[in-house]
Amino acid sequence: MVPKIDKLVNVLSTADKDVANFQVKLYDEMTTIEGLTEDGMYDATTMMATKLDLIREFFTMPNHHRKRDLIMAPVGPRSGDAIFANVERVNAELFTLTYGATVRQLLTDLEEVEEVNKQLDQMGYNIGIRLIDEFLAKSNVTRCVDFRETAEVIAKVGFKMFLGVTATVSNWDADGTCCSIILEDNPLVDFVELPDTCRGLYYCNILSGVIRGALEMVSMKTEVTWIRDVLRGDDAYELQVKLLKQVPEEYPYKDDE
Amino acid sequence: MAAIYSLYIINKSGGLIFYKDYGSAGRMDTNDSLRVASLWHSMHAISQQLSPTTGCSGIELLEADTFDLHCFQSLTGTKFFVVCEPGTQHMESLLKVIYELYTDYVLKNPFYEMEMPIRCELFDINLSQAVQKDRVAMLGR
Repeated sequence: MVPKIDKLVNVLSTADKDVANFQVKLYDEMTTIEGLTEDGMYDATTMMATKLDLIREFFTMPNHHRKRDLIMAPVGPRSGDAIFANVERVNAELFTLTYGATVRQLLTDLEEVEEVNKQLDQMGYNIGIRLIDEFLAKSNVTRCVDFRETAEVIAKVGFKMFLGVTATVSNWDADGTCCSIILEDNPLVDFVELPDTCRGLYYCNILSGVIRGALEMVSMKTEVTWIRDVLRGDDAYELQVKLLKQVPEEYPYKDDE
Repeated sequence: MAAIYSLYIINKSGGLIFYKDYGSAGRMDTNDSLRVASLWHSMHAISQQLSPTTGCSGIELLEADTFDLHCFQSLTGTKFFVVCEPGTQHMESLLKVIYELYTDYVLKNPFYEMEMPIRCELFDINLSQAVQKDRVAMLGR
């Protein structure tokens, strides 16, 4: 009996055998994709099982592409936790130490603490104007109705997605244009103690630049300043975000007139 | 499975920063592609103005006898659009994936200058994988 089946299988071309093989292994393969839910695995398996070209393609894809196509496939806004779980991450210590080395080098190069603050802010701004697109692409958030919503999204989704921590928003002023973002936990400062020579340094000034740059790209001019800093002896990290101007995006642009 | 003819990316001021054509149909030279890009940028802007409802974000789909044009504009103002065979499915999802590839392989490249034409090999490689027919079908799951 057995040899007969063997012969039958041999009749099929090698390519078809591959596919049959793949079909058997498909569900197991799905379980290796970190972050895909049970339902997601089931859906994806049934969807692919009958599509031969698709199956072949799937087996040659690197895991992060599968993740992008199967999990990140756009479906409404996603939570900070969900995105954080699915993006590639680096070792936290490597990140903290790299940032530390950068700040140290700036202090050596620029000598003045004030200049270092400025440079960190500028570096953050340059990051922010690019980072915003990644944020929008991966979080699927839609246009915020007001600045209050913007601040919440930054604190709850933005910080979680890029730093793995969440922040709280408080201290709103009466007209809703100025608030505080408070960080309890800050991965940038894990091993840091500020020496007396660096008293004026805002060690995490890169963060304020990032927020300013990111918001500028979605037409909000803001001013971001540090109110509290644990490294300076306060009990939390507090960033004040003040909306200066909302530039309308509609045509004709004002300066064209 | 229907085919994609070409892909365009235009920056927020209407300049063409990326153009690629796939297959023989609808092929054009550089000047024509630049013309299409700036024409589309203006038409998109005009459509926002003409819309009877407020908060319109511009044309998303243009259907013609011989092609469909699907457009996606990010909140930062960059526009991505594909020209494809009429009735091609899952183009919205494909455009979102292309936007992600753009953020990963273009914006994260430290040597890419913002708003300038895209010349990033990693982007090209990943893009050509994403527009493969089978991959596009997977998006429609």
